[in-house]
Formats: sequence, structure tokens, C-alpha cells
Amino acid sequence: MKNKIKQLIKSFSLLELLQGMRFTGKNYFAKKITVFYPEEKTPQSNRFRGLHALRRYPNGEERCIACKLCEISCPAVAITIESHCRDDGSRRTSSYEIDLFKCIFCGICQDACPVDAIVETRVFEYCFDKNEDRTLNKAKLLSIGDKHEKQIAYDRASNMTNKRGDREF
Amino acid sequence: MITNDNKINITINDKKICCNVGDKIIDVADDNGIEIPRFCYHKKLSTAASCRMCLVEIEGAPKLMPSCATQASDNMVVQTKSDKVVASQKAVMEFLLINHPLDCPICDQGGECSLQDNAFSYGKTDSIFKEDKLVNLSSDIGPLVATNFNRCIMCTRCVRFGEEISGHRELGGIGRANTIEISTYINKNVDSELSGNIIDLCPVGSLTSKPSQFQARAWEVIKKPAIMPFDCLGSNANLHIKNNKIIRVLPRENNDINEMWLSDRDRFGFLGQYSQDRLSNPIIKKDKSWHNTSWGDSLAKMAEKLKQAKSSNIGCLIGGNSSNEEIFLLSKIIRSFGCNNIDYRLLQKDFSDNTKQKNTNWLGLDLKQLEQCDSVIHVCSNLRKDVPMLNHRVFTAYKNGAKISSISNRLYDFNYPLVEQIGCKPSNTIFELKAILKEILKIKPQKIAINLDDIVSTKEHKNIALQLSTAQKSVVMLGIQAKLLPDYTAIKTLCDLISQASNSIFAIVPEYANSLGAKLYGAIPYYSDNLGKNSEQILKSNLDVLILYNFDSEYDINSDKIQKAASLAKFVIVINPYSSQIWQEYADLILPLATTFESSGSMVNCCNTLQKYQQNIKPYKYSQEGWRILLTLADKLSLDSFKYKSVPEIQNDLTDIQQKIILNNDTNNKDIKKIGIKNNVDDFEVINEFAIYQNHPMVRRSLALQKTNDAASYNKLIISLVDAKLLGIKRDEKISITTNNIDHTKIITSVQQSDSIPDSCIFLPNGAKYATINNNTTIRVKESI
Repeated sequence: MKNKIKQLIKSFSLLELLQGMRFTGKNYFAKKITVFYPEEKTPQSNRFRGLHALRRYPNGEERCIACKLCEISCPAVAITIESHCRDDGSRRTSSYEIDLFKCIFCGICQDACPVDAIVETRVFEYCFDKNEDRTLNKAKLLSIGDKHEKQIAYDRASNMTNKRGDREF
Repeated sequence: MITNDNKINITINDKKICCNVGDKIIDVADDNGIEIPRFCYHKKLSTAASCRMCLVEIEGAPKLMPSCATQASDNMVVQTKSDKVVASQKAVMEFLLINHPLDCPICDQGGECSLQDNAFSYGKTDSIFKEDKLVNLSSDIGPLVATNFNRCIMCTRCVRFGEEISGHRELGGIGRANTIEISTYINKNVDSELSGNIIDLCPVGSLTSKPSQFQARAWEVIKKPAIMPFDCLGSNANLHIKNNKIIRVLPRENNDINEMWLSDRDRFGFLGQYSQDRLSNPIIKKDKSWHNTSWGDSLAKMAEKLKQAKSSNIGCLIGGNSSNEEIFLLSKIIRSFGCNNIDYRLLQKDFSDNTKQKNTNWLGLDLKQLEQCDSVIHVCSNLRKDVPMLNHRVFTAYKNGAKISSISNRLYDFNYPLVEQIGCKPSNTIFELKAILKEILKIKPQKIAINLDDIVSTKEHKNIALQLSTAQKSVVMLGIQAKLLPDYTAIKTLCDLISQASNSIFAIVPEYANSLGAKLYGAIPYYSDNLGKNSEQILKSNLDVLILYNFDSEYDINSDKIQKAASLAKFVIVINPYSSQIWQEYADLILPLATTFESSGSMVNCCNTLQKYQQNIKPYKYSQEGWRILLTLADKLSLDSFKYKSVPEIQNDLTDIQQKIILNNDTNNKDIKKIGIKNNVDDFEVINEFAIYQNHPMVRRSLALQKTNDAASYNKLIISLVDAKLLGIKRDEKISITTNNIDHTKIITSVQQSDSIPDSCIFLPNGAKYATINNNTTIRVKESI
């Protein structure tokens, strides 16, 4: 009997409606989170995992030493490497290919890399209209690296606490 | 409790184990699946006990003991995982890693490295070492082994291998304590014919394979078993294959054949597989130019020509490195025309043992017996370079106390001391053997049908005779170089007589990988009742169809003779993996053949062991496996008795044949006639050789092997110092040579003077490259027959 009276008062006083209106009103005047992509862009983490790149040392020498740890650690088997002995006797890749259709952008390749050669950049806006463009070859990867080196280096440095402390970037 | 049969009980990690008296703890643990980490210990080498990684705790012993140097004793209680042991292993790992660079990502050993594995399983996670690491400079020790001595952990396995297995100590530890380094002392190459094994022995990446450097990781390759077709032993190996390409070859343990070693030729010979001059598709000559054709058309053409030919005018030469199946099918096809003109003995000069009796020329004993013998005589044999793994067994026999002597035309370099070494002119070989026989007859008088009265014997002959007749178990080993001599049959007969007189075993080393198979399965003109033409006669006769199967035109056969024969023959068919200028010029139809690694088959090794192998990689471009080509040909010829569909079906027939034939080395022809050269005083005698890195088409295309000193030394013409002085020839000079049976003058690039060759003899490399002349000295050479 007591509960029935409580319910009657609740429904006639439109209390729940007012509660709903309060939530709506709060959000109506709050700051909007909608981003008008592509005019506006969301902020990216310095650990963002976008398109891959191969990096170089400041003297222009490519970092990759063809150790193939990224190839073997890749869970999607997206990386294919051919190694050879370069004329100066150093171990280098003769081909380095990433199949972007296979890649799941997990970032394990960059974690496995002992010399920070393969990295995932902040680039995520890309498309291809030809099937063969889906494989990134060594030249493409290096050119992406060259283009974004400043950003990559900055991200590595700001992300240093996640890696071994004695590493130079 | 020690039982009667020398068995004792020990306990390792609470596991009760029964083992033999004298067993090392590490071996007992290995046999029972208990893992003890080690670096310096290797079961085929002596114990150094220097790495201290295998320390174990033994109850009652005050300190930890090295399990590789401690023999098990009765009721011994061993702990391999106690706290004390684990602490010691961690400390040892930390010390080993002090000077080891952390360059695993660029090290070829990465992924199969003992140091990596042990550091992961037994090491500490960090090191308290903060000082600078030592740097050891790497040195160039030849074209086969790459060095990086920074990574060396001084286990000295490579040093012990040189002393104990290859018998040629080339690497040594120089210095002491932390400045010790592995080195050749003076900068020189490691030239041993077994040098590749130090790559396998090295537990770290200090010694790695140079030809396959940086090509693949250990986890990328697929291992497939194979038989090495480069010598008569047929060493067992694993091919490491990545993307249908052989990356490297590693030994597969087989104690009856190659133990766990591999000669350099077996290890690096495969590189010739990827030579530029591989044939890619069938080609046919029309109007003096070459045109591509299909397999169907080319085999139909071949069948048509074979049908048109007169049966006695078909000739077939087959390389002795072909598989049993190829030999069997080809000889069956040739014989189906009623023709017996098929031969594999392409370089042999003396065919007077061409008889119906199937004397199969094999080793006559198995390799374990060879190790146990106490006297060996090499006749015309450079065994160390001819069949390195066979020589390793003789070396083991030497280590067990055997006495060894040698009679040859060049004074070869053996890796064990010889009791006597006789160097003689090719034409004098039979006199030397007769002198030995005479001395043996003096010691053990018996009746022998030949006259030895006019033979003069010396002290050397007496020593050899003594060595043979006093031994319990002795072997007379006729080497492969004898096959190139004009007196081969006489030499063989004499060796047989010597072995009979001295009650020793007569062993003949086959010259090709499958010589024995060729004899068993019909690649000889005397296989059936009708005697066919031997290779010499085939090369001289005017043929309708000449089939040349699986050999090179330059080194496997006398190139002048094959050119002449090919130009005489009406239709020349070449079935070979590799192209050559001579084939392009003289052949009418060239079919690309798959190599041994690209096909399935079997081979019979020198101990009469039939070894089967599978197709491991796909044939190059449009080349085909030999047995497929021949079966298709048989089909085109509509021959009845070729109902085979696969290799195992052929192999069933092969095994039957092998079981029916009883092998023996008896020479049935006991009269010794000297058929060799009648010497002119001015003429030089030619010494030819099967050379270590020229004996197989694939080996001679292996660039890494051709860069070795062994290969380089073969490419020079050699005359004795006395002759050089007489003729006024300087070292590395170019001279011209006139031969009697070929009308043009040969000019050899360079001359070497040497003590190793008898006077008025000339060592003339087979198929040497001839260059222009710049010296007027001419040597007149009398080539045999």
C-alpha cells in the first residue's frame, strides 16, 4: 500500500523526466567532442602505430641490419626480408617488404627491432588504387622514414621511458 | 655393484642409471636425456675441460667436478641442478659474456648458438662488468670460413679438430689468460680439405660459413636429407633449403660413412648448382643455329634418330656421377637396340680388363674395418684430396698404430707420416710394384706366375714388403689416379698379386660417386654377353647417334677427343645440366638435365651401400629429372619392358640386381703386359690427375671452392726442379707444349717447379685453360697411347 502511493507520487510529479532533462541539459551546454575530420584531427599518442617506415642514422646509413627478428616476430607474417653481404662486408637487406593487407599494425616489429630501424609512424591516411601498391618495398619504406624522421625521432625520444633507458635515439 | 659385464650404477638427479665403467658423466647424462650445458666438450674430440660450463656436484667431492673429464664410478651420486651448480653456471656464463660482443642480430650463428642458448637457460639476466671489452682482430683464413674472433670463447674445439681429425694443425691458441687468441700464427689460409667442419664445431659465431654468409637464419631453412654426389663415399648430409634454394649443407650423422664430418667438397660443392651456365630448356640445332623446342618434340626427334640408326652405330657415354636409375634406364634403352656401346669410364686409357667377369672394383671392406687395419699401402693415390672422408678413416687407423706407405707418380702430401713414399714415373710404376712383390716373395715364398728375375729392388721396397707381411690386417689400396695411367690393368693385377702374396685386402677406390652403380647396372660395354665398344672405341668410331649423358666436355673427358668424335657422329645428343662451348658447337640436340639435388634416385657407394635420396628442390627452369626423361624416351620408342611409373618401382629392380651380384676385386687376367709408352729420351711423360675440385661438374662451378689453394695449385703445370734448371724455365713462366697425338700446340698459363714430381715428367692439368705464348721453350710431350 505504501509502495503504491510512492509510485503514484513519482509518476505524477514527472521526476524521471526531469532527471532525463537534467542529463540532456548538462550535455547540451557541455564542450562538444565531435571532430570534423578531415578539417579537424584527433590528437595522436606518441606511440601511435600507423604506416611503417625504415629509419636511417644521421649520417645517411640505413639502420636495418637484416637480423630478421621483425620477420620472425610478425604474427601476421606480413614481412619478407632477403639478406645479403654488402660489398663493404656488412650485413644488409637486399629486399624488405611489408604486405599492408596482412599487417595488423600490432607494432611487435618495432618492439623486436634491436636498432630501431623498422618503426610505425603517425601516418594513417593513405590509400592505393593498384593491388601491387599494397606491398611497401625497401625504397618506399626508407622514403617514408626520411620524410617523417623528425617526428619519428621526437616520438622515440618522448617515449623513451618505455624502452631501455640507455638507448640513444 | 660392479657386475661381470663392466656395468656400474650411478645416480644423476635422483635417477638411477646403469652405465659402463669408464664412461664420462656427460656422456651418461646425454644418453639418458639429462641436459648438461657445455662449450668445449665434443664427443668426437679429446677432452679439454676448459670452459667449466659442465661442472656438476658429486657427493663426497669437495668441489664441483667437470662432467666431461670425470669418469662415472660405482654408486656415484651426481647433481646437475643443485644450488651450487646453478650458481657456478651463472658465474661461468657471466665470465664468458664479459668479452663476448652483443652482436647476435648480425651474427650468422644467431638462433643456433650454444652461447645464446646457454645464456638464456643458465645465465644471469645482467652483468656487473662495466669495463671495456677486449677486441680481437679477425683474420682472413680463406674463401670458405669467415672469422670473427671477437666472439670466440676459447673452447679450442677448432684447434683440437685440426690436431685430431684433419691431422693438419692449422689453428692454434696464441698467448695466455685473457689475451689468448685463436690464430693461424702467420697470416695464412686454412687449407685442410676438412676445414669446413670447424664451422659446425664452433659453438659461437666465431667461425661461420663464408659462401652462405648472411643469407638465411637458422629458423628460416628447411632441412632435407641428401646424399652427396661428389665422391665415392656418398657422405650423408642435410640440405638447408630456403625458397627452393640450397643455402648450406651440414653433415648428417652416419657412423658407417661420414661420422659427423663433411669434406669441404661436399659442403660447398652445391654452389655450382647456381652457376650461370645451367641449361634452361631443350634446344635443337637447325641450319647451324639453336632453336628452343619442347620436351615432347625433342624426345620424339631423339627416338626417331635412334630408330633410324644402325644398332652397332649407336654410342653412349655416361658420367659416373649419374644415379643408378639413370644408368639402369639408359643402358636398358641402348641394349634394347641390341647395342652394347655404353661406357662410363671416360678418362680411363687402358681397357684390357674389359672382360665378361663382373669384377666390380670396390673398396672390399667397410670403413670400420679400415680403421682397424694396421698397415695400408696407397698405390697411385692422393687419398687425402681424392676422397677426404676415406682418408680420415686411414688417419684414424694411423692413430691406432697403423703403418702407411705410398707409391705414386707425384709425391703427395698426406696428413700422417709415411713409412716409405716412392715417387716414380708413370711408366715405372709397374717396376716398383714388381720389386715390392719380389721382396714379399722373399719373406713369404710362394709360387707366382710372373717372372721377377730382372727386377732390382731397393731398401724402400723391402721396407714396404716388411710392413705388409708383418701386419695382422693390411690393405693394398689402389687409388683413383691409377685409372688415368696407360698401364692400369697391369698395375691392378700387380696390386692384386701383392695383396694375395702378403695376405692383405685389395681395396680399389672408385673414381666417381657412382662407379659401382655404373658397373652394377650396366654402364659398361661388357655387361651382357656381347662385348660392346668401350669409351675409347666409341670416341674413335664413326657413329650414327652419339648420346652424351651428364658430364662436362672439358674435364670429365679428353676435350680434343670428344670434339673429334662429335664432329664425326651424324647426330649428337647431349643430356646435361650445364652448357659448354663444345656442346654448343658440336651437338645437334641439347636437353637440360636436373642435378642430383633436383632429382630422386639412388647411388651405390664404394662399400656397396645403396643409398637412396629424394628430390629436394625443384629442377631449374624446364630441366627434367633424368629418370623422367629416359622413361618418356622409352615411351616414344614404344619399348615394352619400361612399365615403371616412379623411382621406388625402379629401385625395386635395382635392389634385386644388387643382391644377385657378388662383389670381388679379383683380376682374372694374370699376365702382365706393359702396354704403356715406349720412351723416347727427349720426351716428357704426362702425369694427369683427378683433382680435388675438378672431379664433378658441380664442384668445378663452385666459385668458393675454386678460390681455395687446393684448386689453384691444380691449375699449374708442374715440372721437377732439375728439369726446370735444364730447360731454363722460371717459376710462373708460360711455355708451350707439343703433344704427339694431337696436332696443335698447347700452351699452359704457368709453370711451377716442384720436388714432388719425378724427373722428365710433366704434370699437365686436365682441361687447363690455354693462354698465349710468351716463351720459346717447348716441351715435347709423349701422351700415352
